[in-house]
Amino acid sequence: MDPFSSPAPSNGSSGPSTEALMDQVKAQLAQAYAEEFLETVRSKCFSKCITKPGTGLSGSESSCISRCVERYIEATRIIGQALFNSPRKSSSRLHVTLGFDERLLLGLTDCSGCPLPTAIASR
Amino acid sequence: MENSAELQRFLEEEKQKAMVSEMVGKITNVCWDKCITGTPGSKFSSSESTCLTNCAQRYMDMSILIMKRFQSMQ
Repeated sequence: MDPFSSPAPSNGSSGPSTEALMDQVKAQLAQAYAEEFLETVRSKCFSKCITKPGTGLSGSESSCISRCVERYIEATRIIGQALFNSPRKSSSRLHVTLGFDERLLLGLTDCSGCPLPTAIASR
Repeated sequence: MENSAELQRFLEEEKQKAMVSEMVGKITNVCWDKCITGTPGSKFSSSESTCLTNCAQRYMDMSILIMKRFQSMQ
């Protein structure tokens, strides 16, 4: 099914069920996030690790790239913690900047709902 | 009709989550460049991880300062 077609209605109503729509939105957001994240990692690691492109990837280039991917995922985690898990001072800065509902902010602290690199790293 | 309210709430929440993810992504992008100057190792040095933490928090401080300055100009 392409991303823009609707699933068949399951209960005789005239449109897709709300839940199916919500699932579709979540899946598309997760995919868009993953693609953007991967593009960023490609860009960073190419500039760090491939200084003089040769006729193939050398062993050191390959291991540099592996380490780079791990480090970038770790950096994302560190930034997330710096903004959400550190002392109240930082969280309240965030609250002021984004006008967040505090409950939503707290719900995001463990990021169970958001498509963070933990999902990517576990593939 | 309650579908519509539920959908509204859901979309608003997803929008917030997406904004947060985008912000974390943007800050990680910028702070990686500032803090990870050499070739990536098998773990971060403590100065690298401290730099990342500081960088994220200073970026937020700056963001607030900019908003305040901007608002005071209206």
